[in-house]
Amino acid sequence: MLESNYSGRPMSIQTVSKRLRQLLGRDAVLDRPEDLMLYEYDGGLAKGTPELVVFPQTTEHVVAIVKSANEFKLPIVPRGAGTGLSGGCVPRRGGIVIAFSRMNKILEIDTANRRAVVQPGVVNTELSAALAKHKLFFAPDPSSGRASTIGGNVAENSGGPHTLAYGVTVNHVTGLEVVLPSGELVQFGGKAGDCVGYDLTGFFCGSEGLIGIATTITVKLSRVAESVATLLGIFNTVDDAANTVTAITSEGITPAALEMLDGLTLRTVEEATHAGYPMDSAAVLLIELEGLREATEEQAEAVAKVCFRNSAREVRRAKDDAERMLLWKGRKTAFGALGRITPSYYSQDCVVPRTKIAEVLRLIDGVSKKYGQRVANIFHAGDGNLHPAILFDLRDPEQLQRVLEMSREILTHCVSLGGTITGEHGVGIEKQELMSLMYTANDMEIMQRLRDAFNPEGLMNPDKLFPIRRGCGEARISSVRPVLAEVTA
Amino acid sequence: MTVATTNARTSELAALVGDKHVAESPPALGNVTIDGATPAVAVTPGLVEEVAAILAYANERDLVVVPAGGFVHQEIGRTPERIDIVLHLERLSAVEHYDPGDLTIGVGAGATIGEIDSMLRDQRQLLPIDIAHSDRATIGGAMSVAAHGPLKHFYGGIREFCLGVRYVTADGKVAKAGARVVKNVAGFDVMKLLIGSYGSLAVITSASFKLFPAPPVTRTFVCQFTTLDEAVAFRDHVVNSPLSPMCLEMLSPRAYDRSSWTIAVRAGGSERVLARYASELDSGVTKTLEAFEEQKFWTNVQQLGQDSPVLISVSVPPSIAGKTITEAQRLAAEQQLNITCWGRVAIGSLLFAFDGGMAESYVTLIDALRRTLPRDASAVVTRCPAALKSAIKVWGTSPTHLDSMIAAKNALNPKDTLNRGRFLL
Repeated sequence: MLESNYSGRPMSIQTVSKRLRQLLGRDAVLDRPEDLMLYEYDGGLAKGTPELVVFPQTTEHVVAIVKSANEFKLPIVPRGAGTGLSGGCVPRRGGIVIAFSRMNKILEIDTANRRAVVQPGVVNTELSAALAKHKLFFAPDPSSGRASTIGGNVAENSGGPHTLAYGVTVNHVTGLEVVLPSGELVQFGGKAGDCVGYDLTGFFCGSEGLIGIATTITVKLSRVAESVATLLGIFNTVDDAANTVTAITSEGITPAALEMLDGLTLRTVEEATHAGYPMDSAAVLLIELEGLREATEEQAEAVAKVCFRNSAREVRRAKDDAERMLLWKGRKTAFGALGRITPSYYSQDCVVPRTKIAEVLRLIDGVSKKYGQRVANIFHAGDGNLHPAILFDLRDPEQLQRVLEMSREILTHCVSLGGTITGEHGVGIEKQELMSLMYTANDMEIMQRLRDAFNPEGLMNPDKLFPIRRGCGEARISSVRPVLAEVTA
Repeated sequence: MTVATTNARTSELAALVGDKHVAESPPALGNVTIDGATPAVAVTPGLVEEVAAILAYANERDLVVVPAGGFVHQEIGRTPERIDIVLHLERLSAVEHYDPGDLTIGVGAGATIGEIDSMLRDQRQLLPIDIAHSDRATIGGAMSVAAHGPLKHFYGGIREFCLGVRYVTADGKVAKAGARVVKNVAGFDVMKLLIGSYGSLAVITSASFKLFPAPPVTRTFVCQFTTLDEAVAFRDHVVNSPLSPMCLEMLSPRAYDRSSWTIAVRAGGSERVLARYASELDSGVTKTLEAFEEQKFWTNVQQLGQDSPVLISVSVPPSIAGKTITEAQRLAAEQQLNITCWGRVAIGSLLFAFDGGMAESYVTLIDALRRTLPRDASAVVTRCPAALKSAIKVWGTSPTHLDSMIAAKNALNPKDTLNRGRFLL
């Protein structure tokens, strides 16, 4: 790793720093250790210190930064709001962090084509706010949406509670302007729904910053539904709630969102938010239906019946927007609320086929008992996307070791059921050594060939996504940071 | 190529897949001519490892391989430079996983869309690839050409619901990407590259898809107008209404009743929901189709353009769909060609079929039509007489950076083993 100490920094950094200050302005480059520290981590566990943090305002700035970095063979790590959970924007090999907070303009809202053209630093909720008057919205809704950026969504192919009906980020991006690792500025796709040639727009989404940097993003917009029905199904056993998930989809109903909170979580959430979750139940399902008035009414009735058929104790329906927001507040702040009962937690992001949810929850319970660490489950049940949060004390290295072992055991089981190690958080640093649970050496070799085709020197977001085959364990523990509040899922 | 080397090659390939799965002369070879190019050998592997062995063999010897499904879309693309081996995927047709409760399915590339449809129908589920010749069209073929029909309006193209893929690179590496669950961000999304790559990157051996519940009842509201402008205005009315139909298809007069511009709105749901559609669409509706009549209507839409000598698939930003149709009509009239147009007009996905002209008029028309389009639009000539292919650009231009596409191709198909000379690059 390059020397990142302020006084002892190499000439190359000083030269690049000076050059970028001239080009971008004095306040657009950070290089003092106390400033750089703030850019060492994201919402996850990994940590790495950048040597420079730069704030471009234009695409031309980004091109200049990438070219300067190339000249001195400095690593480049793009960063949105740093809400990611897998270390995607952590500069593990130092170098330059390109922070997009000043490239935050909505360039165009094209209602006739249902498209918006945005800079990567636009925050999800800012885009939603700008679209509200047109009764349109950008569908991906990560729970970190108040801070997360569209550029980050693209890099990580973000999801959220409403992906069940609307899909993830890649389903809502039609065009990109990209600065390639070479510094060349290129176009992928455009406003049209699709175009001849390889779908590099689709390939780029979720490539975790290894292929290039998106500097302009063209997204699809969706129309706000006429009617929304939000239900809370309350269950005495986790199995009943899990079985209800499959029963609802078997009924031919695709809810806009279908979320589950287990007993431990909902009690914690209730104490924090007073959302009206029952303190003594084993699990609740938060079910949202959207569409035509007639359809949501019928589906709400059908869903309630399915819940009761699966031994729901009670089914409540939000009477108005205020009640609806309260139910969602409980869900969206659930991870934050865990801070009331644990000094730290480690949230996983596995996906299993829907029919295996009950089985996996039983497994997680078993693992929790075996290792003696409590687990809170809050997740996108409709997608089979689990987020078991393992509660522990980060100050205790033995507990951390146990937590990492538990995670691996849970993920291994999910993969054996046909699932994946990450549904929406990304691989980054967090899961690079777990890629081999899912993929063979050949599978990854081909992906690496594709990375090398675009990023031959590996300077763009280096040492991410693919295993780097070093002694695992120790390095991860030493790079853990002690704050895990407001982590989202 | 001498007979001796051909025979040697045949026996070497037979050693890889077994004697009865190699054919080197008609009729055993079958009718597999593409633009006049006939493959020297046809092989039909039964295992992914055999596909890999064939590709490694071909790649080493600089042979050109054409992967093939049901020969539904093989006419698309430039004339093959040569075809040394046609690689039939029909034996790789097994269902890898299907649990209706998961609403996902995994199938071999050689499975036909029709087989899958009938299996899903029993479970009231849907894989929304509604294309012609579903009895022959295969999953691998449909993915390769990003095939779509009227259901694309609501469900999107294959890229939106393909979850994972198993494939073999041109140099014979067996690999996979994605998964079989509905959400997954582990690793690169190689599916996106392969869908619509026209077999120029790798051979797809199987894939997993997200499925959708099939609506219990559907109904099609046929809305007819005197002019294109009225039809486009009605499209806007529907798009801005609270309705979310499964299909919203525009049909030019020649595509349906020869007299009017038609917007066909297909909806699914209960009687109450369908009644709401009727009331929102209101006086626009001239005919309501159900059951057999409805099925027949959509089958006819899928079959449109099958007999036309020239077929162009156009993708434009939706707001200029109407203008693009107007331009196409004007240009067809100038060249004294007949034009039929139809398509998913609300998402800018259009099809133009032309007939009644000489080669020169098509060449002029295709060139002129492309000049009316913005940079991010595409116009691919998906069918034309083989003789015309040398005079036109079959693929047209792409808004996507060419060198980046070439870089992707070099990573997966470095020696141009697959479909040499046929694709855009």
